[in-house]
Formats: sequence, structure tokens, C-alpha cells
Amino acid sequence: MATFTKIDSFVENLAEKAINLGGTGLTVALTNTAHTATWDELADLTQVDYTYCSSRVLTVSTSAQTSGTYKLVLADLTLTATGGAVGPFRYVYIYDDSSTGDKLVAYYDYGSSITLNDADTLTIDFDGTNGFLTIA
Amino acid sequence: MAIAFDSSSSGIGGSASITVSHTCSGSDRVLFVVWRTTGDATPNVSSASYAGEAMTLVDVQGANNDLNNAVYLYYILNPATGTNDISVTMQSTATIGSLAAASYTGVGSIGATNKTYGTTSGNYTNTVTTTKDNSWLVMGAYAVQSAGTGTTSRANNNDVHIFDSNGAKSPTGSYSLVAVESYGNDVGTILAEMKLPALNYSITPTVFAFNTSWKTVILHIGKYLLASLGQFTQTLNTVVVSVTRLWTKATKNSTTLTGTSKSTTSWTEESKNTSTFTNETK
Repeated sequence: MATFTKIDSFVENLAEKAINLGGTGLTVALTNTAHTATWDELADLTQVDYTYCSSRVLTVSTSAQTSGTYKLVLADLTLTATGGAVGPFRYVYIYDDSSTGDKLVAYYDYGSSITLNDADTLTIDFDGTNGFLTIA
Repeated sequence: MAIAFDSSSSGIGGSASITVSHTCSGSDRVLFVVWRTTGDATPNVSSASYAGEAMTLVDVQGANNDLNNAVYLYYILNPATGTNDISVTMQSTATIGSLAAASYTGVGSIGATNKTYGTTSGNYTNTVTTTKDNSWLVMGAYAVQSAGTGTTSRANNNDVHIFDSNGAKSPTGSYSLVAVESYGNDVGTILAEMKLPALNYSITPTVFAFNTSWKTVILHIGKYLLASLGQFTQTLNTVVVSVTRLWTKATKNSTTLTGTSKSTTSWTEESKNTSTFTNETK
């Protein structure tokens, strides 16, 4: 399991409508640089080259509340390298591409650096029942 | 697992069909087959199979760009293990001259390809740009006699050859195999990249729960229950809202409060009987 690590500024950005979890902007970013607590936006990351990487856009399956508990469910995403390599990277970030400044939401640590060579894949297997995150 | 050479075979044709026995073993296998045809300016392959399964065309090249003297390179991924027949049948008037085959292990897919031709003696260099690290190169050729620099001959019959790089190419980039022609024959070569199998990584994210807590505060002044309010706390700091109201007059009967009103000035009277309040004014 890859632990969800919240970006510190995420809660403020969410409360101040800077991030829309239910929109179409949630996107994956890849970096090989360890996280710094003050990071807030995509520009804070040193991203890998995505020339040979498939789409990194996440799909929202459901974004709704039930009995006062909000749940965001994301569809699984498979990144595929085609025609070249993607990486190396270790950290998988999720950010809101539709927000001003591309605000960061969270990141996962794969545990070691990997490189996707031609035809290699990385699947982000979200929990389809319990969701990506909940707010109660 | 790295790519490695498995086994080779070859045979002589003489008609529109040829059958050659070949043995494949190991995992992530691929079989390459090269043959030459003559006698048809527009040759067509009627069927090409291994162990009854159809093979896939890499490319066809006319020696010196003349399809009357054509060289074909086919392959099949994950061919059946064991000893089975390579079977090729050409359409129309084409005659199969000779055939050579080589199988490999540790191969996931075929990548870049390229073909060359010529008519002079010397080195024939065929080059591709690989798309995956640690790929091997394999080349089918006709009318060459030996391997050149950085090239290993695996199968050969009557000048139909299969060559390979005999090692991984790293990093990705432009790499070549070289075949040597010594007699000035018309030559054709077809080169292909053999790539390692794809790696499939995955991460399973944990679910993050943001929880808030709610508290109920009951406020009262004196004997009156005024209100109950909910409050939102996200930290240990508690926010309490209180309401005050000025006493004017209160009358209490034996059981319930009846009403209050505000006088113009101040307390005028206050009495207390021996047991309970009867009235009070301010």
C-alpha cells in the first residue's frame, strides 16, 4: 500500500475554494525529488519528462456526500511509456490542474525510484469502494 | 531476464513450399525466419506458420531492390515449445530458394525495423534507433557470406543468413548490424529490434479520512433554558456563544413561568415569602 500523504496547504486551499475535487482537473505528476513541507503548487516540483508518457488525467467516478460524509472516488489510472522512457521517479503527486497555480493535493511514495521503459506501465489502483479521500 | 539466443535451423527449398523443423525452448520466446524467393516480380506469401500458428511479416526486401530476388523476414512471439515445423508456401510462380531460422528467449516484443539493399561487394550496414533499453538486434539477409563488426551469425543456408547483436544495446539509440558480401551479388537485408518484456508496476493508495467533530452547548441563564447551539471544532480551541437578557419581571406561579415585562425604572419591590418567590420587579 502507498500511504496518502496530505499536502499541508491542501486543507486551506480546499476550504477557500482554490481546489475543486469534483471537477475534471485532478492530474498525476511524477518526480524523483523528496517532498518539502512548504510545497503548494505544481511549480514546486521537479517533474520528469512526459514525452513518452500516456495521459496523466484522473477520472472522478463519484464526488458526493452521504449522511454528511463526503467521498471522492477516482478511477484507476495506468501510465504507459511508449517509444521511450519515463523517469526515473519515486513520488506520484496528485494536483488540481484546473486550479490557479495547479495546487497540490497529495502524494504517494513508491518506495524506490523506477523508470518506465518502452511499453512498461504503472497502475495507480485506487480504492473503488472507500474512495480516494473522505471528509466527515 | 535478459535476451538470449535459443536455437537455429535451416533448409533448402526448390518449390513454392518449404518445411523445416525447429525447436523452441525457454520463456518469453520469439522465432525469426528468413527465406529467399526467385522467379516472381510480385511475390506473395500464401502462408507462413510455425507449429500451425501464423507468423507475422517484418518486411520484404528485393535484393538490389528487385523483388524477382526477394528476401522475407517473419517472426512469431511465444511460439510453441518443443520441435515443430516451419511451413511456408508462396503464391503464383515464386520459388523458395533456402530458409534459415533462429529463436530467442527473454523477448517481449518487436520494435524498430529497417531494410537495406545493394549490389556491390563489401559491408552492408543496417541501422535502427532502438526504443527500449537493453534490446537486441536481429537481421535476415540474402546473398551475404559472413558477419561484420559487432554481428554474430546464427543460421545460414546457401547465403540466407540470420544475424544478431549477441548482446544488449544500452542505452537506447542508433545501432547497426553488418553483413559482408564478397562477390558483388545483389543483396537485401532486414533488421529488427527485439525488446525486453514490459514491466508492470502498481501502487495501491490508502484512503485518507478527514474527520471533524461536533459539540452541543446548552446555555441557560438563571432558571431559564434559552437555547442550545452546535459548534464546529477543528482544533482543541472551543468557541462558545452566549446570550444574555435583562431581567424585567418574572412571575412564577406554583408550576410554570407566566411572563415577563420591563419596567421604566428600576427595582420597585421585592418580597420573599417564607417559602417561595411570588414576584419581583426591577
